[in-house]
Amino acid sequence: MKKNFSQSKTPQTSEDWKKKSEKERIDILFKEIQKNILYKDLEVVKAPDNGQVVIKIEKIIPANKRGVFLLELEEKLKLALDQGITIWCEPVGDKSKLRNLRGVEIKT
Amino acid sequence: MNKKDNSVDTNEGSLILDSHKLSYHYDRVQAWENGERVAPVCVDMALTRACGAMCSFCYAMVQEPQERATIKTKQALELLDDFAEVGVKAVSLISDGESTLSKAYVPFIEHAAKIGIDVGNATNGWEWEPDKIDQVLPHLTWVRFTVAAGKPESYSKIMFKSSEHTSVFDRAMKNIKYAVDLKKKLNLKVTLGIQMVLTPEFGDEIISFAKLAVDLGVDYGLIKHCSDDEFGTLGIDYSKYEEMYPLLTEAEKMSNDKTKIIVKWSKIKDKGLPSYNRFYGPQFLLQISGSGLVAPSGMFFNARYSKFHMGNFADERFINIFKSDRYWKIMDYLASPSFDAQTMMGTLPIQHYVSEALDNHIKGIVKISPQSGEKPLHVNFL
Repeated sequence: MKKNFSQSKTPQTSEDWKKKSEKERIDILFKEIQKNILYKDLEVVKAPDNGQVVIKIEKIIPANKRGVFLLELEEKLKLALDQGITIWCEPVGDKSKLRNLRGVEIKT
Repeated sequence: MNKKDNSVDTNEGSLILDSHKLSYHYDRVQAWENGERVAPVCVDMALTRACGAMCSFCYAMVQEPQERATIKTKQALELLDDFAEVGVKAVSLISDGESTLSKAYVPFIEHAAKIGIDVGNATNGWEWEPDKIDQVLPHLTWVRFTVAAGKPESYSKIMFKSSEHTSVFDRAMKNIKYAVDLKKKLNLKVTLGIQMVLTPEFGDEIISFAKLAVDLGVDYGLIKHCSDDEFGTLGIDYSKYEEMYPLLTEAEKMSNDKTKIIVKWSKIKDKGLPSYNRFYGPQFLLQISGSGLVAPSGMFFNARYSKFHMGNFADERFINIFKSDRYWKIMDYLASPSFDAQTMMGTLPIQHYVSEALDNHIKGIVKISPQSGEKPLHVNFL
């Protein structure tokens, strides 16, 4: 049978995580990431108290590798730092010159 | 409207646009419930990310991935072969680009018909001219034209540069009329509709849109909400839809025997907030970007959601992506407590109806039950 998580709560960040300043959170994330050479091209851009961490990847990872690469990183950070951590990457804006005439900028 | 499944009776059969059709694919629902790896019933995709329009409501503005591949005809046809092999039954050419611009467009539709996959197409109709229509219309299950407003000036303002550029409206109307006539002449089964993506600032276009649908003689005129990302990039104020309910009701009343005016009430009334936290829908209705990127949903095409990127069918065969552990790791993540559909993705995705039904089913709120008897139109498009 399928595991049913339909009513489970999504883990939230701990009080300890929330108490830290964003700079402190970025520092501990950076230290954790630096432990593995695989993550040498990553930079932590945002680390708000709700755990929605934004990272920047300096090089393009092929589409067939990037999903698992990032999900595994997230698992490691949850385990090592806080269960409420979720990682996202920096967004990319629309490359359509025509649509860009609308002046819409991606919010984060 | 039938309140049980939100279907609308037309001269050609029952049309479900404001709900789902999972009951007609119950074997897959059962397999999913048993923890099996199910193939999508249908795929929503584009053959390019290019588009000659610049619609103010276009979700493609927030869907840019890291890279764009140019999809070649050979790759597009191989994709269809892979779909057939895994059990995909239908393909909607919608997604994040104007597929009629692709060189693969006509061969793709012809090949799909040859191997038994249903194809539907949403288009602005600008580059969909008689020569192309003649080739594809007999093979299409449905065509839905994006028509942002009923008046030429408003249409051009919303979909193109300004209200002065009404030539795009004229071109679209000419091509839609050609398709309506061809359907009648050849007695084709294809369903033709026009669609308005309603944003609150254009509420005064509702009635003229409905009138245009009736005048064109298409099978339906559909009015739906506008999606936005979870950060509100497109600035859609969902609280303002309620003010438009009287106009929407008035538009529905303009339906006649030939043309039905249909409002996606269910999505509009949800006001951008889903009832579910887990996102099961993509396992049944997958999306592929016009960049070739395979991701569970169009909500995740942008580089921001790279952790949900499964592969690119321009780089490797879709069947290998589908059978890979990464495909299932990502699908499992969306069904796990780590993912919250209420806060981690944009509003009301294409998979909304399916996701809501599967969530209600698994929670025991409303069980999906198998349906027999006469099937609704477009049964393979969930």
